[in-house]
Amino acid sequence: MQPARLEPSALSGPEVMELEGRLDSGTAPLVSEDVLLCIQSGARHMILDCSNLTYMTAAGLRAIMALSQEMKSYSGDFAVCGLQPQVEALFTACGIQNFISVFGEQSDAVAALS
Amino acid sequence: MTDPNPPITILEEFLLLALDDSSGQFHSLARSTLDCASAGAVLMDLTLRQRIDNDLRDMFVTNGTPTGNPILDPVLQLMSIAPVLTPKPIIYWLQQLADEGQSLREQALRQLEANGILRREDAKILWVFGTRRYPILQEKERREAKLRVLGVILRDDIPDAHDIMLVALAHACDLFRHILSDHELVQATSRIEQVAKMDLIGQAVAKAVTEIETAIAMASGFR
Repeated sequence: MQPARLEPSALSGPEVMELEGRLDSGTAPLVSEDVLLCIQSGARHMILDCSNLTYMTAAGLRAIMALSQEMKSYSGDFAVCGLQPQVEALFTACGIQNFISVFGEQSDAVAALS
Repeated sequence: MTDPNPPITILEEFLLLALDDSSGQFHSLARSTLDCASAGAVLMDLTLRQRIDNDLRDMFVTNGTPTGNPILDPVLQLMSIAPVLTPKPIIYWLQQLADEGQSLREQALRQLEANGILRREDAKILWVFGTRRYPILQEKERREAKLRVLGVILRDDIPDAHDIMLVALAHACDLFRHILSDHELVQATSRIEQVAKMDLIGQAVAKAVTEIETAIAMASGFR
């Protein structure tokens, strides 16, 4: 079982974090900690690239919602992209697209947040 | 971020919202609806305490460490001994726990009584029929719960997990018609539905409650 991994993207513009593996009750606190650190360090435009995230639970989803809200409290922008089928199904079932910007490709998200 | 050890449980807050201000009795809800909502509230409480998690299909224990709460720990223990390799869907656990719904409610009401938030009053109507009321002694907790759900539905931001769950339960049991005026309810319905949808346990409770109400309606129609 591979945990979610955070990697700052080499792209300029918004901070892009690439998640990998699973986002569940075990990995969500680690991802939250890293993203919060970025926000506290001054990031105000952030994208979570989920292209390599194959599995998410409700705990992972709650973490993403909390991070989006945290970014909003700093008047920043937050988006996710590259949802894989299981993750997209979870987002759709919970209507998360009503609250968080979701893009197909990282380039689309970067363009929107730049 | 959501407090992993909230001082008051979702079950207790739900019961406070479900009690009628003036009569001290529960709003007119079918007992099976209350049982199902109580079961859902316990699953939500264990979720908030990071003991269980779920995906679209199944619910599973992620941390079997007792919470210290006398209502939640027996449920956590029950879920922990279920075979790990055959996880069950949320609806399975809702049905299992709904059978204990009245007991869960009684324990939560005793806890609220012990904390001085309400008191229990037993009386007889026409010297025969027993009736029980729970007058609120300390309004703070219920006022805070009401203000929180009102805050959630009047804003457009992302609520925290605790508030989403409370809204989902209140919506599943149609409690907002007792909290909002008819006009306010019409205005807020879309937001309430959006927020309630965010929680999968709340969705399962709503589905189960709808099935219960349909069954009751059909049974009534056949009388």
